[in-house]
Amino acid sequence: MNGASTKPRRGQRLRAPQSARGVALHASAWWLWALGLAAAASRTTNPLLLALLAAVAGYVVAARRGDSPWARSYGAFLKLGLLVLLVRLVFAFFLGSAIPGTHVLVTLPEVPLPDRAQGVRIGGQVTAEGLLFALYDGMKLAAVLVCVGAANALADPARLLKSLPGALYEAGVAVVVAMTFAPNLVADVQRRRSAQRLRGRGDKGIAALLRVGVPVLEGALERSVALAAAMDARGYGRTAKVPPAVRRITTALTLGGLLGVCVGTYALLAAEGAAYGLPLLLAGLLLALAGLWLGGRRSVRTRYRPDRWGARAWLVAASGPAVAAVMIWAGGHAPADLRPSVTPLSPPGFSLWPAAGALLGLLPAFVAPVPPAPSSQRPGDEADPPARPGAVRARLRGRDGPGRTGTPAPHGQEPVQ
Amino acid sequence: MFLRRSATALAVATLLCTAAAPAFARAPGEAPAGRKLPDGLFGRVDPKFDGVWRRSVALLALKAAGSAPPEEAVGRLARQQCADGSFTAYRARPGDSCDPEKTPADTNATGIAVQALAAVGGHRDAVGKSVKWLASVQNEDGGRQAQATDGYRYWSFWERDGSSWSYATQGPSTLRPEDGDVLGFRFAAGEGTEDATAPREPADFASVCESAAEKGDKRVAIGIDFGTAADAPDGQTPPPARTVCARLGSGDTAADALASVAKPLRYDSGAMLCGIGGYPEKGCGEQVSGERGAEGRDRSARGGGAAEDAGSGGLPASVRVGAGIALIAALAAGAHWQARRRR
Repeated sequence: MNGASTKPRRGQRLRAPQSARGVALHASAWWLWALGLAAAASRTTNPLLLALLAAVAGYVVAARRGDSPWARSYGAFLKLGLLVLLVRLVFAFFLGSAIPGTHVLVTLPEVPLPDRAQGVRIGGQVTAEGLLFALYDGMKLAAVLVCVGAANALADPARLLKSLPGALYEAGVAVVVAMTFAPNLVADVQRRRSAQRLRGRGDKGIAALLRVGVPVLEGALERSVALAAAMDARGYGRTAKVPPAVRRITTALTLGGLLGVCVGTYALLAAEGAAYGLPLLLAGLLLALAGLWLGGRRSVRTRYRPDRWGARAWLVAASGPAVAAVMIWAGGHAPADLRPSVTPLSPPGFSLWPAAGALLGLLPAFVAPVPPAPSSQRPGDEADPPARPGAVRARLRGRDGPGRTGTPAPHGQEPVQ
Repeated sequence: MFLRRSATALAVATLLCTAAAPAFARAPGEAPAGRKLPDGLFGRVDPKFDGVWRRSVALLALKAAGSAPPEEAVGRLARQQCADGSFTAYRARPGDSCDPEKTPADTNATGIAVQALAAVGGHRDAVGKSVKWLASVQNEDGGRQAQATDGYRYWSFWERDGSSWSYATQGPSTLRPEDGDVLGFRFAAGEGTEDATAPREPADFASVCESAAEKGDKRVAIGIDFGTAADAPDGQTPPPARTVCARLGSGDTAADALASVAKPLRYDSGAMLCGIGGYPEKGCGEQVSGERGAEGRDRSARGGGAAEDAGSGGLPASVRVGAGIALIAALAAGAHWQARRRR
């Protein structure tokens, strides 16, 4: 037991708790935060602001990511963003840019094209302004990717799928099964390839593909059939008896809602229907959501310890759209700061309000539950949580879990999932 | 089961929407399908935007040439007049009363119709009513607001061939002008390319680029017309039009020439030219509707002040950039420290 005073001090009460199954942050709160940051990044091409947003996302990820396998994906998204930037620059270098400039860096030999391809240019002058414009644009794309990567690293995809509405429950189960079995598929392929090599057969070419691919597919099919039988034996896939009137209403609501969304989106995008586009879109969205909620009555399921949406989740989820709102407001008041001009070449501005808005995104780093410090694990047992002596003792004493029957349990001994 | 049904519902909804889409499509400028053009009209194109203009100009031309204008055309022109004396661009059903929403009154059409009716003679009351209406819609600065158009506000690119401006077929970033070409840019609100307004003043290469040419020097004359106050976005006044001479290198495009004489240029992510010389500070090809102009002038004083307040802070640009880089570096170091703490 952490020997301390009986009453926690005021400061300790406000500090973020250690993340456990009961106090884990709702997965959609992380996604709302990340999407707010991505929306803010898409409103500006100022490289300083974009780098600031990426740094904010990186800090929150470093401070609050857990130990799960998907928590390490932030680095992959960073590399992907850099790759996108590089590709954009290469295209601007070789295919020219529509942005005119007066500072010519290098003049590549131009490939003469027929008159039909008038808008395309291969080679030709490479101006500093054109490259800089491509850099700004590529950085915007990379920043959006990095924000999405932050959400990937922080939010548990399995918990996110469990929060889906009832009507999409079966689709969610299919996705969870696919995600769980994907590593098995990869391991299968590797096993079969090494078996082929050990038998002295090559592992390249179409014949090798068939030799490896067909058994892998067979194995996947067998596994899925076995899983289906197991799930059926446990009662998955039963549907509730819903009166036919409710079923018809559900169909009508869903169909009408989707139609409304379709027509509303078209009206918003076309010039003529701007007046009735937005109300139609909103009405269609409401109808579709109502149909979704009503359709959930068919699937019978109970939730085991659902993630609670508490005050911390509200704070985290609100900080993302707050950043986006500040960026949009700044774009209305000082557009030159958010879109630095390329002709003439000038250093990008950096003013107070957009930067302060971006720093708002740091809130989850202080408010979200802290992931537990990693104990010394053996590499390879990532699937099971480490067995801690306290938890084993608790189970032997017949309790269904620490902290449930009122006897105080040592903090942090609950197995982390 | 439910999933299958929702998938079917989605497919049917998509099919219905794609079937309904062609109903909205119509080529611009064509007469609506199946409609016969009315009698007494000059020209074959849909008269929706210039029916009154066409008729009036043709009548004036006939009168000036000395031949008698056809009575039917004059009568139909007179019937186009609204009850308050104004003329619209064209009203398909002259019997109906003028609806300011559907066909707003147009000072251009009224002006030319008054001239035509006065030249032809025999419609003194109508002419008097129209003149009174024109006097009533005069703005404070003496100008008259053109027809309140629905359309888009954008920069258009023109080339001058001989004595008139023609709409350029290539964008400024792909066109490679020759020595001695005259190019023009005009900022206006219009519905489409056939409705685009040309720069108001002509530009002549010889008068603009007077200095003696050096050997192998390529020069073009560029006329930049920032548009009328009626077309200006809220809170901005258009600078006066100007013509400049630009010097080009061998591979330069028209946009390069513009960049060398009319900085700062503003582009959006789609590489569309949004602003020349900083003129529309905000907005890029946005949709406009109805009345503008009067409100724009009132807010011009306040708008300029607000834009300056938000941006400047007194610090030089290099200090701000340095502060930004320092902040990013601090955050990155913090993230690195957090990652190491948890390793």
